[in-house]
Amino acid sequence: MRPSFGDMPAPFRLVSALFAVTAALTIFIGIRADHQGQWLPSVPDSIDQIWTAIDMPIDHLTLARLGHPRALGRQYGNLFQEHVGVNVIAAASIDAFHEPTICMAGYGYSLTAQKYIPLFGPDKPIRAMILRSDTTGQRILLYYWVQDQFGKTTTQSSFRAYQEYGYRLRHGLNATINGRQSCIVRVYTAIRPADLLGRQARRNLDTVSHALYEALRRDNGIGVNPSREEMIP
Amino acid sequence: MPGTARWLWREQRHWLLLVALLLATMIRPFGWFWEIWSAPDSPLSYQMFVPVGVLLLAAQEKQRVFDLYREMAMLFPADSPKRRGKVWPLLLGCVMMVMAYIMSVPPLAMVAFFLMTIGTIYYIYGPFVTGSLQRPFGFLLAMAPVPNVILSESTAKLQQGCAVVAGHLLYYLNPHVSVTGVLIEVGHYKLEVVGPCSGVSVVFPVLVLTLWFVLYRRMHLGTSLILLSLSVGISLVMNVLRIVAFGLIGTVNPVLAEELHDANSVVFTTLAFYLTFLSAGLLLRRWRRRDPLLTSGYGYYAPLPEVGNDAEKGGSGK
Repeated sequence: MRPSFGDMPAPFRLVSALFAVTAALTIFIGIRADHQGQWLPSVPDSIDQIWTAIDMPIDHLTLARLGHPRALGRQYGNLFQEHVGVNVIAAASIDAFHEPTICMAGYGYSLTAQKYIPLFGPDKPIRAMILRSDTTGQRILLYYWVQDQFGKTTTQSSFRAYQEYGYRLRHGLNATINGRQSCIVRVYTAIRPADLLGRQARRNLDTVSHALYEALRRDNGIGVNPSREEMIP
Repeated sequence: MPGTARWLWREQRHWLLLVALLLATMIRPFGWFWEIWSAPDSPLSYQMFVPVGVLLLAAQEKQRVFDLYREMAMLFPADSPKRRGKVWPLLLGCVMMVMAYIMSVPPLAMVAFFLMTIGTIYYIYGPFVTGSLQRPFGFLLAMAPVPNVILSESTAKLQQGCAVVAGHLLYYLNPHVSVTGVLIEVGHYKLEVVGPCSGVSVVFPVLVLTLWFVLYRRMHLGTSLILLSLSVGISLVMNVLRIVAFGLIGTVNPVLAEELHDANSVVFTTLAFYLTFLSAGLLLRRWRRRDPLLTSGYGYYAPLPEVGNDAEKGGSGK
């Protein structure tokens, strides 16, 4: 009689069962991870009828470094020739999280000040940074946050090498179990020389950031009424 | 080969399920590693060929493993701890693989792969059979991810070192040579010793090929260490010669030098391994004669032996 898989020796049965469970789990996690990063909400074309947007796509090299996520780039401008740049990147993978100060260092900017502020309410922090050009002295004010579909924000930037196991685990579990998707948002503007304390730059950035935050909350891709979102943990 | 395939299907088909499940688990991690291996001038591109080397080493051990298995089966019952290993390495491997997926950590996935592969053999066949496969399993570790710190540090050091040595050599051939950091100027031609020219992409593959060779030839530890050290030295010499060649060609035909500069290092890797292979031949002949100078560790002061009839007849050559 020909042997079949039913004639499998006893030790093979346990190993096969373990392998099958591992394969099923990893395939499930893989599918959930692929699902992560599908959410790229639309952002407003104009804000308060003052700011109008033009497309400024993120360059191919940057996207390659971020693992080719879905992303959009916009520049908002007003009548006073003030501009605010916006990048919204779907948090598709660990690679998409990239430390903004490292990106800016490539353009000759170094971090001079940093503060975590609850811009959108308590427990909804953002990371505000001032970067200064080493050659021209120009300053840039940059807001950075990660926003999920329910409006919750964090300031998680890059995962340093493989050391931040805790963050990686939390991010992975969020993607696998909750299926909660996130977007990485960067909003930045140049601080004009006349704006010594950066008040005007901050005002501009706050306006655009609030509009973006609300737009992302509304276009959450899961059909949840924004008024009920606060009830969802 | 068809006979082996028939035997595999008739007698060992339960392995097919395990291999299929393991491959299904490893698809994504291999995708992560493929990005590293397939990058241009990647010093770790040799890792994709390691499984072939493991299979060859395992095939070499086949008869010995079968004999040992039969012997163990005659001596001990099936549930004896000498014929069955513990399940925890395998279990740990499975848990680590799931964690690697959740956290997207490729090195963790590779460690989990090692544990799952070796743990399976250990659990099914016990410690003795697993021990008899130590050479293929040992070579499998060549797939272990190399930390970025080691790669970048060794690349930077070798860039500078090779540039300096190549600069000195070029000076004897052309006095209008200056070296600034990793930049060599030969007359009007400027040659930059960039990362891919550092020699790391020659040293690593040659070192791993040599490791496979010493395992395949079952060399002694001492001979193996000497040969592995030689392989590093030969690879570095080949790399310096490559830079010198670029410098010389560049003074005559800069365009050709640029093209060669951008070409990958397969040719130089092959040459370096061939020279290591020839060295192994010389070393093995010397080792077989049990030269007291070499065995006591002072062999490198001794003149090279005359390879001739005496050696073939087993004479001392003295």
